[in-house]
Amino acid sequence: MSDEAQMSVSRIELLSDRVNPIVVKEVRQALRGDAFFKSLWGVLMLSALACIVALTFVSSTNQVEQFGVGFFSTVYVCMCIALMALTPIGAFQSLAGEWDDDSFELLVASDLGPGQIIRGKLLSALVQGGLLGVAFLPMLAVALSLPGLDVLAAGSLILMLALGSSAATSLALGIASVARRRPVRILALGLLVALTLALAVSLIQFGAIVIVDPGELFDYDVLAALATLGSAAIFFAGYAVLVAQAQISHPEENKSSALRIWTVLAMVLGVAICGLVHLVGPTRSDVLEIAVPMVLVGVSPALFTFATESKRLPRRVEYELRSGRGGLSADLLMPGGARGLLLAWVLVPMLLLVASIFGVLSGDLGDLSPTFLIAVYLLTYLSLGSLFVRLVGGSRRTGKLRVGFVLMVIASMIIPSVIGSTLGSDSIASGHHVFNPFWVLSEYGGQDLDLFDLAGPLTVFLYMGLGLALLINLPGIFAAIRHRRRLRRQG
Amino acid sequence: MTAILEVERLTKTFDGLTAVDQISFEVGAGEICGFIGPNGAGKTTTMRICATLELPDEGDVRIGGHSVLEEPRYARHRTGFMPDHFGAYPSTTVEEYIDFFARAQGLRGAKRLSAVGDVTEFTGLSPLLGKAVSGLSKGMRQRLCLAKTLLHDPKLLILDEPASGLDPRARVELRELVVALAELGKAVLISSHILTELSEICTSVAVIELGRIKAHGNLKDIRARLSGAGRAFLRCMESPEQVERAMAELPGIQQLVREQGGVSFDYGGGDEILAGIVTRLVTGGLRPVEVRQESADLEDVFLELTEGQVQ
Ligand SMILES: Nc1ncnc2c1ncn2[C@@H]1O[C@H](COP(=O)(O)OP(=O)(O)OP(=O)(O)O)[C@@H](O)[C@H]1O
Ligand SMILES: [Mg+2]
Repeated sequence: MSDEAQMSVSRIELLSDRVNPIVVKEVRQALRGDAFFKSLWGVLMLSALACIVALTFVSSTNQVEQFGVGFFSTVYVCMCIALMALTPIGAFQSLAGEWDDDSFELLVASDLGPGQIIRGKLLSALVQGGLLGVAFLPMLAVALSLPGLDVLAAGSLILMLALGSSAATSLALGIASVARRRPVRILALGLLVALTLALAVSLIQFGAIVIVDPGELFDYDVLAALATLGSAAIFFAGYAVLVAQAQISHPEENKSSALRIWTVLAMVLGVAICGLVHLVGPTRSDVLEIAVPMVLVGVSPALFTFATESKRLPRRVEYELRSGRGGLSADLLMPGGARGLLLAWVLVPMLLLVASIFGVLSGDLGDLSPTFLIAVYLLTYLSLGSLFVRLVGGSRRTGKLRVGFVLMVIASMIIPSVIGSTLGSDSIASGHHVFNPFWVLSEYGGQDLDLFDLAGPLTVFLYMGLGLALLINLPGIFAAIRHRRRLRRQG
Repeated sequence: MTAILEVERLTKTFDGLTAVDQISFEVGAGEICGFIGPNGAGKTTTMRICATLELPDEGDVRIGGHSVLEEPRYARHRTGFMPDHFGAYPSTTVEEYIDFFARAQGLRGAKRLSAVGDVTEFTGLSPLLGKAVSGLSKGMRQRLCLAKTLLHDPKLLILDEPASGLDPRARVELRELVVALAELGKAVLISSHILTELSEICTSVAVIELGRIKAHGNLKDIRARLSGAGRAFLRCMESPEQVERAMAELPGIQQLVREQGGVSFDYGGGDEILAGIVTRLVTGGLRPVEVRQESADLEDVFLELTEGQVQ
């Protein structure tokens, strides 16, 4: 080997040092194994075949000016299937395969942190997805050269597909990380396949509208929906990645703070984005009023998780507190059930602050009072749940606690209905009561919520619930703060 | 001697079964500690806790003075753990596999390349670099795992039955390797069911049964404590019969047998007593040419200490 060749080898080696080790390994594996190439060739062959069929069909109808649209639509459908199905499922299998192959423990026992592992898995799936996407470039170029295709619409669709595929891949990793046991994994894979297929179908449907009528893309409602869906996708993708990291990190490690910070950011940003859409809107819209409770509903799974966390501070957190390292300055962001609840109580005023800023800007502050009521309502609901779980579960087993939480939600919807039917009240029997958050929210979203009608029971519910939750959780919060002070002094 | 691995009152239960019960022991720098016990005694569980892969219910493990529970990353960085079984990635060659773990251990550039070269040579994998990991034999996989374990030059090695599946030559090489590593100042905790092999290299042993430590320390001390006696071999210029007769008159001598032109016998304990016996024989007119303390037999110790109970 000449000196020059040796130098270039070492340069590649040096360059590869900067890349996440998992990406290097997985890309090598993909290039060596035949599964990747098989799927690549399969997808390309299929899409080429589909294009030929589409072109023959379009030419037989003599619509030459629609050639580009027909061709692009076919390529787009194939890309949707490839990127929405193959990439997320590949990422799922790649992480799930680590439990199957018993290689997971060697991985975590190495110097790689959980963040690096998950980011590596995500990146390598995206690189493989990118390679798949690049393989479609020639066909996309052909589509662009044909008459009738709107470049902006096509570009936006491809961009949306890329975002959708990345979000679905992150979600796949989150799902894979909680599915360590085989039966759970099979179920989870089924769920993932259904989810990605649904996403692919909706992308295809949306594409079909936009490609025929590119002006739709600039419709206010469509833009608002895209902004909301886009921010939701980013939130869930980020949340899934953080959950995956938490799942594979050491049990004594702090797993909540990152998730909590992400949740806070997402809530504030979610309301901000919805508010912005509301502000720039041509006419007064209901977006803001619905936004706050919708965002709360969206992140309530996250709040569930924090409210039902085990109360013990992980030893690593204790250690970091003692040695004064790490940015764990705020009690709210630290692990622990009572702190999780406290976080939720702090979040709501923050959320309302953001919402009211937009309310002031757009001049309809008056709408905030029902919004406020709904936000406090949801919070009370969450607090009551954690309280219930604390009383029933009481153990350290967070898994049981969370199942308990879901059971509580179901029970609080069903039990009043049963009582209602025995008392002969048809409306309560069919779920029209304050303990059913879905009914309250749908009433509110549909603007049918008659506050005068509901004010009595709702207010009693709010004050009783909040008072009880505070009463039971405050000692826990104070104990946690005292514990933290003591650790600080020790250090 | 500074302890690198300190296990403190470790307890671990699985669904009511106490796999590890209040275990404490230490392994110092340069020490090779044999971890022995019947099947299901709790060896793997203890080792996995040390390697941060399992959480104890009680107790702690310190590596270089740092708790594995408070600073798992510190422990991971300084520990090389070789599990009793492990999974290898499909569509990966030996070289790629080792290279991946070198990267995963944070080795970069020339350091990584030289570390990969060193461990493959150390473990005799150099001729197999291009071979697929999934096609390796059991012994070769053991070597691969050992290579991976040594990459980042850890201070502490935890080897769970590293010799299983290795051919006789590879075993000898493994033993030499472990001794060489200990001479470099590393602490080694090694479990094995092949006691004759362990007894040749171990500087200490920890015997565990039903999750409890039955004995821990220097092999000779354990044996001395067990039978209250050490065993020695003595050969003199005079005939074995003469030596036997002379020795029979001395107090504290037991199990006297003639063998290999001399006699072997149990005596009352430490070096002091053995020296006294020899002096008395010399003053009695015998001329010793060979005195040898017999190494305690690990197998005997094992059988004496454990009862073969399983849970
Ligand atoms: N994950 C687990 N779940 C339930 N029980 C377990 C688990 N791991 C170990 N045990 C039990 O703990 C006990 C100790 O097991 P361990 O693997 O530590 O034994 P060992 O000393 O390594 O045995 P061997 O010599 O056979 O390797 C056994 O009774 C085993 O059944
Ligand atoms: Mg074992």
